[in-house]
Amino acid sequence: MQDQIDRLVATALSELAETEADALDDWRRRFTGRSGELTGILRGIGKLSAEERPAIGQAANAARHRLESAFADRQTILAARSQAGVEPIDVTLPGYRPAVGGLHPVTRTLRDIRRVFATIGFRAVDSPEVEWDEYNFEKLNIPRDHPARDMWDTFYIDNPDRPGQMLLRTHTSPAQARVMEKTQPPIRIITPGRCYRYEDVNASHESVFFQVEGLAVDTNITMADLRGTLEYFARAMFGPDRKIRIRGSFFPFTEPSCEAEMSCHVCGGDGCRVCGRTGWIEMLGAGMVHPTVLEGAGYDHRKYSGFAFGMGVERIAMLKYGIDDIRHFYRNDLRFLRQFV
Amino acid sequence: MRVPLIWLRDYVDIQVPVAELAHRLGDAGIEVEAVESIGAGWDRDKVFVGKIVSVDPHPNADRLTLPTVDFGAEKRRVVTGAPNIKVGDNVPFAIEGATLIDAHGDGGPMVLKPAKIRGVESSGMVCSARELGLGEDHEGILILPPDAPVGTPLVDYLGGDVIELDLKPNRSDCLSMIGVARIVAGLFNLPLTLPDPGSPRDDRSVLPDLNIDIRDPDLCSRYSAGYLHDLTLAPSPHWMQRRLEAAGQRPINNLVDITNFVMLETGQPLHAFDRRKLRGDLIGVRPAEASETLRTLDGQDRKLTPTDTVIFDAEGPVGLAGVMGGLESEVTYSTTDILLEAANFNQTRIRNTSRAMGLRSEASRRFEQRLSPETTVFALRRSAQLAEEIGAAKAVDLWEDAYPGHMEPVEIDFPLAEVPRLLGVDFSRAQIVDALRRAYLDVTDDGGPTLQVKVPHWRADITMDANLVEEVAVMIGYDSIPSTLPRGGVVGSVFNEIDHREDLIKDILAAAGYQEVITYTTTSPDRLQRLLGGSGANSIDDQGGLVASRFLPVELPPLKLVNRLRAEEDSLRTATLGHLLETLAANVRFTDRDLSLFELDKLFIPAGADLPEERRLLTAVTGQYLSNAGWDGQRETTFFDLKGLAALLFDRFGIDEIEAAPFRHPTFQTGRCAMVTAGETLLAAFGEISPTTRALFDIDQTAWALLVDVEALLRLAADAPAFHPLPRYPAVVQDVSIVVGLESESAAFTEAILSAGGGMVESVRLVDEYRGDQVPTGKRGLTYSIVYRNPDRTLTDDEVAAQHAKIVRALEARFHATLRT
Repeated sequence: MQDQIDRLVATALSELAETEADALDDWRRRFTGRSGELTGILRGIGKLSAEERPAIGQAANAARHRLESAFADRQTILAARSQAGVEPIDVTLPGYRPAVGGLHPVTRTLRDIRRVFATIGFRAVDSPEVEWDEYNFEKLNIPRDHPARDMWDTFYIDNPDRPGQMLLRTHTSPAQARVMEKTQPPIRIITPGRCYRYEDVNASHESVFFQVEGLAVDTNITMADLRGTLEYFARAMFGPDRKIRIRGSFFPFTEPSCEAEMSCHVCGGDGCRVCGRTGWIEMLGAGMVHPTVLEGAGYDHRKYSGFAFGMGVERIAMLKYGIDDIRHFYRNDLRFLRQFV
Repeated sequence: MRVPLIWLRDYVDIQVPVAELAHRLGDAGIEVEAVESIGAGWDRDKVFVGKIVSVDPHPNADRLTLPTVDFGAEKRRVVTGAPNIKVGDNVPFAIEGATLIDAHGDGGPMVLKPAKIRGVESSGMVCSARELGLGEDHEGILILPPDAPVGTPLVDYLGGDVIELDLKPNRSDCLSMIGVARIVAGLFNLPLTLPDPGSPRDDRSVLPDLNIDIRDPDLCSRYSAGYLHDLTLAPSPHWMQRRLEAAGQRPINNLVDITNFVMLETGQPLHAFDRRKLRGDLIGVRPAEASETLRTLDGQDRKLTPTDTVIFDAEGPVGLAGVMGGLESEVTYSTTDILLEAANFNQTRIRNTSRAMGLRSEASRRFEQRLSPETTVFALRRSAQLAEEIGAAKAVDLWEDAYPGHMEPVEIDFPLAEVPRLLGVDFSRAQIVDALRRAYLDVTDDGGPTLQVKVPHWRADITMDANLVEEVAVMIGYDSIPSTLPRGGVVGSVFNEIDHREDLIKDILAAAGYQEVITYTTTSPDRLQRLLGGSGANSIDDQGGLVASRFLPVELPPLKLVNRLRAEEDSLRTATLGHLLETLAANVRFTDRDLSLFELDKLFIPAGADLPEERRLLTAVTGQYLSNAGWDGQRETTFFDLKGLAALLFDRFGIDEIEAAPFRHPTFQTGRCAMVTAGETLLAAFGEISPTTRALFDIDQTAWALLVDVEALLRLAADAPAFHPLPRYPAVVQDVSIVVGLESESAAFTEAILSAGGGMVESVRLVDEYRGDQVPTGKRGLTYSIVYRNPDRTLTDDEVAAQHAKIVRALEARFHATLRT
């Protein structure tokens, strides 16, 4: 009898799948109705022994539920199908894009820089844009009237109370002095921020630009650490094959001083237009924190050493995005900015 | 500084390709800005030294002549328009196929072809300086010295590579050919051959009396005087002229050329006084007196101040020390004997004087750096030797020498351990010693932990260990330093809460359709005043005053720059909004859509003698239409778009107890602007920009702005969103539509519904405002959706109906609202 029920269910379900709306009632009458086939089978239950009866009874009820549930689903499907017919659309019309704005490429680049340095333990800290000569120069081993001052053309602020003292910082390096005088080693920070130079604007120089200063001071910081840190950064920003080479330079607040160059991310070092056919791209100036600067912050320069670097954010962005003219950044032409959404 | 390789090779036999030399110098921190190859384009078999052997007139043209040029292999007759040649002149001569510069055309290259000029065949060309790429002179043919070897390829006679150095201020020792040669010798491990000034010229019997009077050793650490007599002014020899020209110095005559040559060779500037025009037997150095004047070599009368330094004789100033000589004691063709000055002046004073007077010369440029006083006598001896050698004069090397600023050489006990400590690489003892010696440092190695290093006088930049570590790195090569990361554990937290939250603010604005801009922080008072739309302070109410002082304090005099690039950028901004409106206006030219902009940046509030307050504001502006990248129509910006943006922002930071209130300020359209406060704190202001302000910014559509005090926002921000458990029992939602007066305030109804709700109302939301025919004139319809819920059980329909009726009664009673049906 169980076999009879199973066969009936199989037949009913396969026929249901082919049944359209106008024949649904017929299906129900035939299989689950009062005089349907399932009822017919159950009539024979009286011939069974008292032991067999409950099991078959349960099976028959389960079959009825199954068929009724399948019937209800079929009804739902057929009803929904009858509503589905709509006019076709021109699928080539553009979509309605959510009206999102975008971040300035300098912001994007600054975030990238912050993120990369955070992964090796450098915290971003803020420092004033309007500075004292003392922090911008003197504490960085650049006395007044020193020829090295020519390296920074400076905007001074007219402050009758302290004439010639207030200025727009020419680099983010004053943050070195500010952080060191407030903190004891170990130090690992970066300072992103806007800087100003009193110089004419052209395709590669802006009078206003962003810099990121980096500073690490501890008992065991070396120039090899500087090179490794910059290499880590270059690889994170410009791809895992980047190499760093360092060349001699001069900054009054670092000794030894160096310039770091990165193997060209466009040609891989073979030489192309971007790297001026040298295979190398100037990245930033850096060096070991000058003993005078360390001592000025009250650190024993025989015990502590440190490295510092300063990179131009626009320069990194120009390299990353292939931008050919620094003036784009602050003209704020939306046709430029929208390219970085 | 320009370094011709032919000159450099006088001291060091450097034969590597110039590119390699430039690269190696760059590695060592001596930056090579450019490499110039003089005569790189002059073919050896096509451009020669030629001699004019005859000049015939042109048969058909008065202005042209027909010189015949001997260039060794043959003689050729050519046509030229040059006015300055005569028989016997030596000239550059090019034959067909030579590549020259098209001096008549676009300045590009041209290949010389045989031509017929006004009927006469010309099979070569006599060349001007410009045609050879030697300068701009195209007035006539370049006349070569009479001893120029006829037939020699011109490139051998005049050509050569020149490297141009961009020197950093610490390497004043490289302001001389000898200094550069020393570095090159060290880097390439080559011997250095210094010029030998020969046996002393010390016949003191020819010397007149001379006393040197240095008033203050701080002005002048050394004043050395040489003596030249029996002067014969003439052109200097070709070898000297060629070196000077390649180095960028125009040859003048043998005396001037010697002083320039020795300055470039040794780095020591020299000045020649006509000894007979000096009064008395005195030469000295002192500060100028107030209102003293001096007529300098350029014929100008210079008013001096005590910050200037003068050279004086028995009767007054005769020169501006280190900057320019006096006209009165100038050397002329009647000069017979000379006081040759080689001095060492205070670099700061020279620098200040040369800047103040706008006089910068090769000499002053050197004096502004730290020169070694030890070089003066060598420079005088070398000048004396050259003067006699080229027949310019007879000489006494050293006439008198005052040296009050004598300093002992610097000696450093250099711990070898400093090299690995700072560089992170273990060079061997021998490598370090060798590197220092190649840097011309005098090293004594007793095998102990330190080296005794004596610093030569020309390296005043070396005073401490770290300098020596740099010399080691330079000589061995920075590239031998490995890459490591700083050791040690985490240094505090790298997480910066403020940065993180500012990032979030920017992300919210960008997600809301606003494009970030970064503008200049400089402006001018005029530009700031435009924000007021031409109105005065009388149109500001108390609330407007609060808004102004926080967001638009344009009444404060801004910080002024002492020096400025442009008049419209002469101050630091006290408001950010103007820059955003300017940016909006600039972009309207390109597009009428997607004009929603924001900036999160600083304005600067002056603080008297202290550094200014750098206040961070979020400034968002938008034009007439909201950003919409689709094609489903544009929607006009409304007051509520700005208000909603503010609400979204404050919501995200967990600030929900905020209130909006109207204010009056001329930047905004009265009646369409509001300020947002949380308790006592002013958080934001927003609204439509007034038509007058908009007009002054040249914006011909409506514009809207939102200003948010970022510091206040971050101060009030919740640490993290607070979790509320999800309701377990269902809510009942019922709407109520009321008709009220136009002057009514929606916030009051919301408040009344909540307070009449008896704790059963979970939230109230306005879902519609209606103005039109279906309500009486002067009225509007407002529909609120009220959510009823009891957190502990399911509400019955009767309970809700009863409470809803109470609320309706309360609205009718308190506000004379009528139910809208």
